[in-house]
Amino acid sequence: VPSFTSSSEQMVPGARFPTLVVGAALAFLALYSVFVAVLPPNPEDGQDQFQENEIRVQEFVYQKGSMDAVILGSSMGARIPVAGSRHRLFNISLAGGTAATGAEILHRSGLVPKVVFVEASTVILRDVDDSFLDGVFHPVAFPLRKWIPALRESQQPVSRLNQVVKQFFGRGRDRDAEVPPELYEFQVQTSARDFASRSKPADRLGEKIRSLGERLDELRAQGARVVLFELPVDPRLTDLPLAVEVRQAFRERFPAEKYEWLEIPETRSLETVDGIHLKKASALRMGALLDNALDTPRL
Amino acid sequence: MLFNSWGFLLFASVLFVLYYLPLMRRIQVGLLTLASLFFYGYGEPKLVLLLIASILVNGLASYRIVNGEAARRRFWMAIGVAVNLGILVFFKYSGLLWRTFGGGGESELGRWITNIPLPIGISFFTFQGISLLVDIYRKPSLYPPRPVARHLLEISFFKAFFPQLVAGPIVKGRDFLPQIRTGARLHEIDWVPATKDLVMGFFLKMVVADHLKEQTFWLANPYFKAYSSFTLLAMVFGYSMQIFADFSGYSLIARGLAALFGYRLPQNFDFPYISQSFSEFWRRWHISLSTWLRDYLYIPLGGNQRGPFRTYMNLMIVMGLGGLWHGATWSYAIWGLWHGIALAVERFLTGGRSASQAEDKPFAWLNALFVFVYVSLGWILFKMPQFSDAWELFHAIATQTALEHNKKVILNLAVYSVPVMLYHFHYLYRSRTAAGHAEAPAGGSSGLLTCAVYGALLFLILVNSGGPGAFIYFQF
Repeated sequence: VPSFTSSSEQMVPGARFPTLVVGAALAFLALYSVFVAVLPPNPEDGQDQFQENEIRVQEFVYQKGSMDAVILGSSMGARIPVAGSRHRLFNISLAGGTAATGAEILHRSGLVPKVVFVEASTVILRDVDDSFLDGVFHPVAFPLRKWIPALRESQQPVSRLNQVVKQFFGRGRDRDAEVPPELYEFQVQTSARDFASRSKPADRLGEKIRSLGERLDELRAQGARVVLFELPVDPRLTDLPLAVEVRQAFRERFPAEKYEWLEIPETRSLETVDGIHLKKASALRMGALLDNALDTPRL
Repeated sequence: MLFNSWGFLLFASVLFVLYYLPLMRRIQVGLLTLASLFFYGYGEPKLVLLLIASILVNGLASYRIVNGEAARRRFWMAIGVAVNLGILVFFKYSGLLWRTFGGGGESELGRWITNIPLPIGISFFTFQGISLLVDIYRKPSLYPPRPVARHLLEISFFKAFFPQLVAGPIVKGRDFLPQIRTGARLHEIDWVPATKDLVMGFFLKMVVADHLKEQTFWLANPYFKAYSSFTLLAMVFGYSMQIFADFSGYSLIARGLAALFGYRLPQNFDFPYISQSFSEFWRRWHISLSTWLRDYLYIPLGGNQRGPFRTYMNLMIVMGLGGLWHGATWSYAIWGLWHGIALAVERFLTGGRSASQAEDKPFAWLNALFVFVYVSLGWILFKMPQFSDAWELFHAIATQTALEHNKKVILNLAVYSVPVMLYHFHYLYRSRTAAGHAEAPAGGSSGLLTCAVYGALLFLILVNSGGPGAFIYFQF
């Protein structure tokens, strides 16, 4: 392990070394806390999608004041931008995750938004991400991050550095427009294989939808308005067996007579990057739809 | 229990306090042994039974070697080594052997064999047991006879000591047994190296490796098909940095923890990416494994003493088996042979004279670069143990030149590779100047600048850690 000592430097006894190292670290933390208080970051900029999940959730659970709505979903819903919303709208859709994990976040945090948008998709087959939830709500880390914002994911020095780099060099071209047709086709075919057969018993589709339903009913009982929506995918995937089965399961558990469903007009005009995830422009339109829904007392 | 978890912090803190209580001084070895068994069984208690079985086998065999009739010492050593290897083969390689030689059909027996669980750390603690038996067989004075209860306790401690239990360094009997003692006092702790090892280890793991793993995640099939050749190459080299930071970070943490309890563990990494030859690389990478393979396999096979052909064969055998030690798929053996070929060709070209840092050769950096690139390409088999996936990745690197580069991924890979590069360059700089690469000035003191640098690293651990993940070598 390297030593950075030079011959002219003042020496400290070995037993004091750990104390001085910890002291120096706390001093750096204090200075950095001042820095982040003066210059708040752009919360959407994570270093990777996993960190972006954490940033979204931390921004949500540590927010102050009233909130109008929250979006629960997967990487599909995560594309929906909320920065331009006219309302206090949070998106805790999780890349690699599912709306059920989002519902658990609401349950564990005790937060009850006025409106809860819920993505209904085949991704519900994924398990609730307990290790992610345990990380967010860890009994030591959770309060530390609450009281020391410099410890939050959005404040990581490398994320801040990335933001500076982006300001200098720009964000690059919009990758949505650059996906080669053969790659798009490959991705659609990959998804088509996944959607080609109904779920397996081990997937426990019914159990997962029931659990989600229990959480959503709890929220309704606490006064939240629950609105479900289905995001458009490539038309070749829409009516494959798995998509149909999951859609039916959702509609049976959450019938339109009892639950609000946001119907998406002109779904064919919404485009995807890979057959599953909306392009930026389409995601923007989707965000506007959700925004408008908030202005409507009941759909 | 992961070193980088809150649970471990609590475990280590409580144990540290208990260990140095005056009333515990006479039972420190027993306390550490019990705590180590708790550490190993945390989350999956039934695994402790296997560890205890392994301890009993090695404890009894070593006791017979030390105390038994001289004529039977070899027998007990052979039995002990065979049982260790049997445990390893049964738990780790049954599935591979069944798939390869048993037809791999869907019979009930086949399903049973392929579902045998892989206990964490089994490769490490079985190799450690073998070293114990061979060392005391070769040199009985290493561990003089003592009462059976004390013998078993000390062997239990040697095998189970938690900092090195699940991912090494693979401690040799000759290095560790003489250190075992009770009565350690707080003021005897060598705080400077212990703190440096812990801070640097956690920094390499939590800040560097855990962030790099999120960027190299996309090397998996089919995700890599969406990335450009250049981005994929950046990921491959990023994975080189990640695996170094992950494993050397673990080893440093293990050394630092052991030092807190008064024990020295061997150095496991010696700045391997500055190596100018493959033999030098293996003197610097996973040193405790490469020296184990040298001492207990290469030399007994004849080493380089039986002519060129046998030397090349021995290199290939040792590296092939060394590769297979990492995982129960043939791709790990191929990875070992990838290095075996490099070592054999290098030996053929240089006549066994390997380059060293002391020689200031022209184009030395080109040698180092070549070794690094070759080693990095080999890591693909680590990341993707399925041949077909690795082959498809190579194909993607060669053909996906038209896709747009992912600047965000490349930038993050570069940012988190910098600390690993600085770590090596700093060592290189100091080793080529008068300062040498001494870990700390004599007398257990250190400079204020060093305090500030390690303080900055600790600060980055607090504010810039990646998503928590298991250590890569835990799977072995």
